[in-house]
Amino acid sequence: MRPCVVGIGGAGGNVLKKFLQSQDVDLVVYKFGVHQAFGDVKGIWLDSASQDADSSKQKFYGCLTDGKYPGYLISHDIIDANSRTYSYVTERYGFDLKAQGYDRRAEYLKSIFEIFRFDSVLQKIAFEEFNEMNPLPSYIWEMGIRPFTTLAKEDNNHNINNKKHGQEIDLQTGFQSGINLSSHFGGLINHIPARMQSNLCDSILFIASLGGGTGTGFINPITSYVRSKLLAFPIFAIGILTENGIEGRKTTEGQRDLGAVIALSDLLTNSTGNGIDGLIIIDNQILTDRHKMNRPAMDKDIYNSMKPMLDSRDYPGAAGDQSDTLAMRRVFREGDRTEGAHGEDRKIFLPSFIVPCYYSRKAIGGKSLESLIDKALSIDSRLFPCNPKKADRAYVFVRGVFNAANVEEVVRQRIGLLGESVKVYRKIGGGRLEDILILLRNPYGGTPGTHEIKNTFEWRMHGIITEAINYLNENPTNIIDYQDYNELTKEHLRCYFYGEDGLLSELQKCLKRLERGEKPVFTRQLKIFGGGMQAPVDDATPKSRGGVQMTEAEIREMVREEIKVVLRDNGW
Amino acid sequence: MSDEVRLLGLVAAIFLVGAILHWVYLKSIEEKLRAKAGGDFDMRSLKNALQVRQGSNFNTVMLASWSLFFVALASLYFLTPTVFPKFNYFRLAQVASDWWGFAGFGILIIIIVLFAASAIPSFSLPWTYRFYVISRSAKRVLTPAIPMLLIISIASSLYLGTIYPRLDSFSWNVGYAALLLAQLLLILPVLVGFVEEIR
Repeated sequence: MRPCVVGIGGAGGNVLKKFLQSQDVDLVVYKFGVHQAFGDVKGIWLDSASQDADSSKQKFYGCLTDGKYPGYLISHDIIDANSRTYSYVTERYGFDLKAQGYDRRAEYLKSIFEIFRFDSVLQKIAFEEFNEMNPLPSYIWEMGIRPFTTLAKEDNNHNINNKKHGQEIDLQTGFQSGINLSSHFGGLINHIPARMQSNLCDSILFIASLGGGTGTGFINPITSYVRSKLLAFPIFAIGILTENGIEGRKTTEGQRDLGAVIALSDLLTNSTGNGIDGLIIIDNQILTDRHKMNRPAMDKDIYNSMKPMLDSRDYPGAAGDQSDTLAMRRVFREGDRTEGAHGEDRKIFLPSFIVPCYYSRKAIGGKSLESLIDKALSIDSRLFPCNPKKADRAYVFVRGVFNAANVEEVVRQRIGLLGESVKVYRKIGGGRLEDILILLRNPYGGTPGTHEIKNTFEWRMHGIITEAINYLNENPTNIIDYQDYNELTKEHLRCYFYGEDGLLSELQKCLKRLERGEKPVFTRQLKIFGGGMQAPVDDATPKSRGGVQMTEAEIREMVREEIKVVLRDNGW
Repeated sequence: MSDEVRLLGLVAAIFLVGAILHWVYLKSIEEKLRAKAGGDFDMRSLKNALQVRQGSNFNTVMLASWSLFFVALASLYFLTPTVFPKFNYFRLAQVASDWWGFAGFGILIIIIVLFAASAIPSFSLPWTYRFYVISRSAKRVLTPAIPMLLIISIASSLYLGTIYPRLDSFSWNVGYAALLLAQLLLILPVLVGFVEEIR
């Protein structure tokens, strides 16, 4: 697995630094070849606050659009403050598209992405300006992530074909002059140093703090955008739940937990081919206890835990456990009916919670495999509270010399899984350590009342949702009557949070599910400006076409995409 | 046999030991994997699986160090007639005494080493580093230390070449000690990898 790691927001950027730390030496005077990160991973830092990326505040990242690597990308740089799109959004909704960060408000960014999706007037304006109805995610994808993935190669070929047909692309002025972002394809890779265009990434791994504003808000829209183009590209996310109590930026636990449940609800309720393939969830409270609030050590712990997955030294030979990422995606998403959602949703298999358990030790002879696995599954090695015996699948990444069948057998015994439920990926590793990362899928559910037992998944998730509900109940003014929201936006937010079928009601249902021991926890995605809410927006009202519920905007998008395909197939 | 020739034997012996350790390291991994982990593979696929990118900066410095090592060795033994009266650069007196004479000698050695390294990469020590996990801290020590030691060794040899026919055993000893230390550092990744593997 060689992912393009996308660190989103402040926390995501800090963890990403560890992933992108150079394995090479710094010669100061000159730099040869490519930036070499562990496992050949590449990555970008995505943020909305340009002041945080300023070189006076941090030295690690440079501006990606200036060809610097490791680089950052400011999401709203594509939007000019004098543009019609910017003015329309400000006047109609009271949102600032160039806001410098979203200060722990997950609903802010969620709203922005939704209005681009559901407001056909805005889409028309954006299309006229950018030749793209939803310029933010397309900018992030085309400019930031795509050039580092294997898809960039296809883009280059496409670009060459375009040029053969006489469609020259002006790379310098493309954005301003209204050239379709999607048609930039191969051109956009040119801002990435040529030496970075080898060993491209076969997947995407988002890293974001759950409970922030930027991190939680970006993953879903970008994933949706990518999925609208590519159904099968592997996309995983690491979500870091913030610690208990009031943190450095003076936001309460309730406010952050509200952000977290909005993010979780959005990330985990997309069916296969629409959203991420799995959410690796980490509890910062565990890391805080472990490292006494030493942030760099906490970030390093997350990075170290993921190293067995990223290590490029696969076992040799055809029988080796080659970590083919597409196959891993399939394995991560495979399931059966009993693992689907309950009731009427049973036929839908939703993305899973994946809890990492990591343990490393000195590779000195005489220590047993059993002890390594027992230590990894012990409470001290879990990165999120859970009961491993409740997991419905286990994915094991182990570095050292081990027999795959033995690893599988021991893990199966310890967790109590049957059949093909344990998958083992071995790496040769190296150095003085041998380590193991066990990813437990959905390690919860099955027993009513578990939410009252400390250090269980249900207990932690129940606590987060309860805090979010309390915050919703106690702070309607802070949530709704915020900043420059106009009445239309306030009404939508009121419906979203407090409406009959709104978030508050949905979270109470989530609590009931946890209390009854049901899974999944989150089953329904709520929209602020989309269908399902009782908000009076003509443009966002769902319409029925042949039994399929689609908004006018979605129908337009679909027709546009089809025309593109037909034109491309005919050599235009 | 003079002491200098014996000491040259030591340099060759260290390389030989390094080559043996590398071979034992690979065989040890192969045997361990076959015995404990199972699976059907050959040495070629094992070598492919073991490869890890060390970084272009590190590779460049180590390749340069490898070339410099032979320049230092040749300068110490084959620049002046002190050790090998019949095989030395000073036999080409006109070339050696030109203003570019010493530089030409060094460049010639570098060309030969780089040509050999590209023609038969497996006989080049930096090529074998790809099979070892070398920590960043080790890289930080090796990259400045080895070239510095080799420059000391070359400088001593150039001094000996400049004062010839006068002799200076102190300078020769300094040149040799720096050369030997640099050589030990060059094979250090192999040595550390071997020790970790057999533990």
